[in-house]
Amino acid sequence: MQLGFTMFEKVHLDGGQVTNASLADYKIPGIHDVPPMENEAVDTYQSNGPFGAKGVGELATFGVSPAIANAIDDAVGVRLTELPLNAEAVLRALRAKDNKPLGDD
Amino acid sequence: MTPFDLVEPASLEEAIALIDPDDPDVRAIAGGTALMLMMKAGVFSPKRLVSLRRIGDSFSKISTTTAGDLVVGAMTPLSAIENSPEVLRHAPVIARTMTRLSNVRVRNVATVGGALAHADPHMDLPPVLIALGASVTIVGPSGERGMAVEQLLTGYYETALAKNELITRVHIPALGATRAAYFKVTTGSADDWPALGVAVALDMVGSSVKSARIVVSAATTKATRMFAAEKALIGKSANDATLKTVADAAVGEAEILADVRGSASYKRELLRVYAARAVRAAIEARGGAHQ
Amino acid sequence: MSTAARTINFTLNGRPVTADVKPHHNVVEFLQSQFALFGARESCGQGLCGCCTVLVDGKPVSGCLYLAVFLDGAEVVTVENLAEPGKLDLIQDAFIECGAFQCGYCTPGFIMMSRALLVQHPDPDDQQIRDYLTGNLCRCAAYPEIVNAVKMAARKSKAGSTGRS
Repeated sequence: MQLGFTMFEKVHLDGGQVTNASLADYKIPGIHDVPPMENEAVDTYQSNGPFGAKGVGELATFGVSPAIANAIDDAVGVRLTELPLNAEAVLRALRAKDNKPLGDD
Repeated sequence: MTPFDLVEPASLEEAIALIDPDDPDVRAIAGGTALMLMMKAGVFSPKRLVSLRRIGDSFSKISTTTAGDLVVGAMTPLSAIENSPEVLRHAPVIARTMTRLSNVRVRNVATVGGALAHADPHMDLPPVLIALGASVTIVGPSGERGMAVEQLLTGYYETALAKNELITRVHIPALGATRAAYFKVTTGSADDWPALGVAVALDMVGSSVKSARIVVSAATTKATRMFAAEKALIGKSANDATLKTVADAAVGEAEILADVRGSASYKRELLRVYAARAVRAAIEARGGAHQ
Repeated sequence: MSTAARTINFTLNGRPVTADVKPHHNVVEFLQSQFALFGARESCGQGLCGCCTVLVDGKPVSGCLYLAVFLDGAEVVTVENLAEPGKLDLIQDAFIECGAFQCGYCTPGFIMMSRALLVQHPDPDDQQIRDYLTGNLCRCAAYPEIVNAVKMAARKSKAGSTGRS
């Protein structure tokens, strides 16, 4: 889910109207888009949780976007601060850095 | 969807007679996958659909003529083309294009004639067929005529077909030593519609390009030949300098549109990269294969 | 010109049936309203997500993009018929064993597609599985487990393991 938000998912608006309100134009990750993943549990204690427990579901999503943004920075030296981190955003940032900005059309 | 009538004629003549050329609310339906989307979106609300399914069997054969041309009936489902040994032998580029065209369920239902008559610029098959020099046979009230796929597609969801004309067959000429490649470029998920399609078919003499067809789709209003890019390639050996000239020529002549899949500026950069890649992939294809 | 219902005859989950259907109704609406079959459900409504997958003459199609009148004379199989009541087919078993779902909404569609895949490719590799299932969406992204489940079902099927009707 967070991989989708990070890589593809963007709500396009025109005068307050969503222009991509379908799964044809608002793309979520498919079976070719999800890489192999490894899960690792890290022990922690939540002081205000019952018996020190903490929810596990969506906490795991927070790290995805910064991890990919860091990887992009590490690979090509541009820092993206707006989702989605798609290929066009990377190219735009690279071209802006080179003082040859991509056109707005 | 709003209610409509559905008629199921048993012959081609009957089907053509049932389509009133002056009534935009009457249309033919083949597989119906694309038409269903338009009806569900409320873009098209027919009064009557003329189903071609009862006559489908007569127009869903794949055969090779004595001259070596491949003839595909217009009602052939895309999956039958995908799995046809004859298509694989004749034009492997078509069989390979199928694996990333929409999905299995749509390919089981959608027909090749429907894909052409619908004229959605995002379809993967039309640019490949134009690159291969394919043509269609069209039947109307006054008889039969032939037309290159390149001439059939006239604009955004527009064709040269009269309202009461139907495509009956697609002809793909014998390809000999022609090599071809197609790239479907997606900017969202891998299963997205293409943001850009590039098809290339070419013939070589030694290391230089004798003839070439380069077609751009999805980012344009219709699958469009890139004549300046073709000219920049013909007679040359496809080294990096030539490919750069070819790609620049394509970017110069293609009328690229922005949409949710990317800005026009970005798609021009995609074209610059993929025009060169597609030419190289075609050259490196063996026996008409690609990628 | 008539938008009225017409009568069609077809085989539904192995049983010959007759039903009245209006020309503008799709397969999902038809199966739900007339046969109380809710396994195929409409999600994206555009043939992209696979939740409405049914087999028509052995081939998977999107029920949301298929006019119900076109079922006339066809053989239709839905997820409800994969195994006898109270039992599971080996693909369903494999999905459970591999944890190939989280919320389960997309699961019937994936199972129907996997059934068709294993008929065409009894011993699929990862690429064949991913290519075949590329038109099915799982928002929980259980894709790696789904690939494992299909491979497990293929192995079990080859070994002649029981568990399906």
